[in-house]
Amino acid sequence: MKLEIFTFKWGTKYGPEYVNRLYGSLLRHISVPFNFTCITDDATGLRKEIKTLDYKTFDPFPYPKDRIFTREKLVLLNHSMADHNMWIDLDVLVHGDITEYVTRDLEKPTFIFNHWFDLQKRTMFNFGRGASCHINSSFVCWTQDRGKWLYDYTMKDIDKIAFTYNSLDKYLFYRHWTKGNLGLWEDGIVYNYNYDNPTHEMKEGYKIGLFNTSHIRINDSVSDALELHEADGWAKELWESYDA
Amino acid sequence: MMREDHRIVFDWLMESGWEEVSLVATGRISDRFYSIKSLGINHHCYDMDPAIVRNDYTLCDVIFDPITLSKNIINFNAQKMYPIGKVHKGEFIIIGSADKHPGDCNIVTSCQQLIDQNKIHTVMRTIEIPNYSIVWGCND
Repeated sequence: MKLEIFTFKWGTKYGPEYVNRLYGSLLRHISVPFNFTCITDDATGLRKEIKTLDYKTFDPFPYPKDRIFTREKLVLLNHSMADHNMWIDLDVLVHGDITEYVTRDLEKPTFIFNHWFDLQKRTMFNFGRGASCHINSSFVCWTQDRGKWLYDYTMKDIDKIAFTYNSLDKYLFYRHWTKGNLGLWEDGIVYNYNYDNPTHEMKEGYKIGLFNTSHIRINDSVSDALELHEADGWAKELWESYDA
Repeated sequence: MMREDHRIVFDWLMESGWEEVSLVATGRISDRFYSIKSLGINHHCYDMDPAIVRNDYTLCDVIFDPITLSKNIINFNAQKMYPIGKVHKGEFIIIGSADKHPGDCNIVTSCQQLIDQNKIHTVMRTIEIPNYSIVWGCND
């Protein structure tokens, strides 16, 4: 069984410690062998066990970055068709065993569903305005070539998609979640460190915490939304422990 | 009372002589639009919001889904979508807003923008009112 895992590091928002600690967390919480590849524009400081691909030649979409933001993730669906495949964002903290999830036989590419939000009251209420999103692409797995259709679909309609959607997650939500095209992680795996109630605590029994802040700071004016490097207490201690 | 932009569109619809029309991306519209059959105009509505539950609606995205519209089309929310005239052909009345609401991907600031985006070659009417541009014309 072959498991391929990918992450992206481009620009200067996150340093190499994000990649190295993510890799360390996966070594601790995945009990089967895997390859770990970072697609990056700057491999300086990465652990030598981490494979790299050149980010500059990885994104084939000729659009500004604010169109379908992080669309380059979809290229992986066409790039990697191993037994099991996964991408994971840098701004997550893995703290429980995820072997069961990353080795599942998945019929559809499987994304995070924002279980921490009320689907009806928050998301569907705003659906018609085009302002909703209940999908998160920070932790995604697919089996063999069962995600390639999503890459192909996107490339076929890329002009319309790029015009309409500013983020990958919103595109996935409006175009594919509504059609039942996506697999969704069940509740109990991923939570949001900055959104779940109470915030900033490790959610018992869950495996992965999301530390994304950009949407929160823009949309909800939550001033205490924290990135991993800004967190303290248990999160900081655990994250730094993955250096070892 | 009907919104000013919708009132203008309704007046144009009454002038149009159309016998059928597709009402697209309606969101919430006045009941007067739903009663145009009594005025001799058949209509069908298209919107992607599942909160709208009516028999005269098809739940879809007219840009991405394989939908055949009437030759006469009213698009109520051009600011939220890819230009409809690049996907469908016919006679259009199109409303676009410059309000910059969340979810708006196509801020519309002029009638000329709507004409250019939708490849309107024959323009019947245009009007610009605060925050809204409205165009009536053909691209087929």
